[in-house]
Amino acid sequence: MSSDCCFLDTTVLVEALFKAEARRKSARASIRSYKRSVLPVYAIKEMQLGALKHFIWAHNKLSETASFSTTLRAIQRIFMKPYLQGTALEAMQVGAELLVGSQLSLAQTRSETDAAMADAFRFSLRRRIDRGWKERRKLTTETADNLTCFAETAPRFNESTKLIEIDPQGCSLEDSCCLAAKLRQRPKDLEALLKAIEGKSRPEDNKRRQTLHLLKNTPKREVSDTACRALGDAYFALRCPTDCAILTTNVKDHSVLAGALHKKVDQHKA
Amino acid sequence: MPSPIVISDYREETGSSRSTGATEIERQSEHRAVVHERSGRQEGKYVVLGPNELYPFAEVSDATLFQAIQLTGECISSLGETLGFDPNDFLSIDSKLIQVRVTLRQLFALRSIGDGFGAVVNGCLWGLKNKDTETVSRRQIAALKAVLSEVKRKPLMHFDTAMSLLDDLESVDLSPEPDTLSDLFGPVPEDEQ
Repeated sequence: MSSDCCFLDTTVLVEALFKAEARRKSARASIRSYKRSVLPVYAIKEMQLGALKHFIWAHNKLSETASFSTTLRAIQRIFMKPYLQGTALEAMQVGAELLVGSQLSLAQTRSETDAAMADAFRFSLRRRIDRGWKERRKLTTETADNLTCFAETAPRFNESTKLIEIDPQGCSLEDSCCLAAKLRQRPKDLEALLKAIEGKSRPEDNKRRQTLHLLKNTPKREVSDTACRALGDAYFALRCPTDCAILTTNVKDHSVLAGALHKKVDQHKA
Repeated sequence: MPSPIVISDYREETGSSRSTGATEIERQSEHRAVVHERSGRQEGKYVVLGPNELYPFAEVSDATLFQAIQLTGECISSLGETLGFDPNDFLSIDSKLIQVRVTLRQLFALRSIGDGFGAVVNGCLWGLKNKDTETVSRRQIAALKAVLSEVKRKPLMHFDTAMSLLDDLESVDLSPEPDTLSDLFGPVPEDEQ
């Protein structure tokens, strides 16, 4: 720990809200180890459009297909998660033990078992989504940097379709990004960040570079929701208070940008 | 309009029809009188409300609901017996917990009752499953019993009510969800992208 205050990035927020129990507890303990902990609303926005959206999709897929195995195949195909093979097999085994451990169980056919497993995971996902959203602002001593263009809409369960809906997502309250004006007042910092990622060619660096250029060089052009999201780690480097350290699971990426603005980065080991 | 069988079944459960010595036909006509009274077309002495009258929008038959209430009662009773055993009598305790797990699986098959009901039964199943080889403590058994007593009292509970009951399980270190949940359904880790 390099500071008395931490500025949460999205990776730690997701760890503390959505991961397995042991990891959730570990992330929460990390946050509590600081006297002061600050959650920027930007992290909530990234969480809503990332992990939360992903969980909602999985919930709705289980609901639509009523099949655990079909949903897993869809996940493996769409998200190319071949490494999930082992975990998926383990989950199927555990799920089968849970629900058909006895011939007295009413789920006796393969499809009934598959549907029962889908529901077992769907209920758990719905709970995780519900709890994660409700607890998002309870993890830190304060929430900061409110975004007036971000509605922070809660996910809601549609009783008739059995689907979880979240609408609107992202920033929709204002035409232009509410952060843009604040960030444009810091051209030197924007320049420093551009220098820090000079020559880097990962897709996220390219998108970040475009937004940083947009902010620095074209003051009259509007910054879209997509451009705002592309800022990513650069946002945390720019907005982290000077007496705080960015708390993240991904020190490697944050160090490059935070270092350029002489901000500290602390690692939470997931 | 709820099925007429519902109310006569309910009366048989409570014994109110038997006490008058009514035949099946008489019981059914008595039921019709009750329904008519409720719809304001006929005067009667009393109204018996079954679950379908109390919860007219629930998409579940009374038979399923009664089965669920009966099975939940069995679970509660088994858990109560477990609490009466000597804490060192692992064999007796585990034998009862085996019965509880079997009954919970049967209850999960009745999850069409509602998502609140299904979520709590699911949470109880995972809570016990996640303990695996670990001993389930008396505190945890008492928590399961309390949670299932609420299910028996309010089988048509809303999902939000179910959530707070599952929090009660979590507060005694019974994890009500699969450990693999976020690995399977969470976003792709950055280093895998």
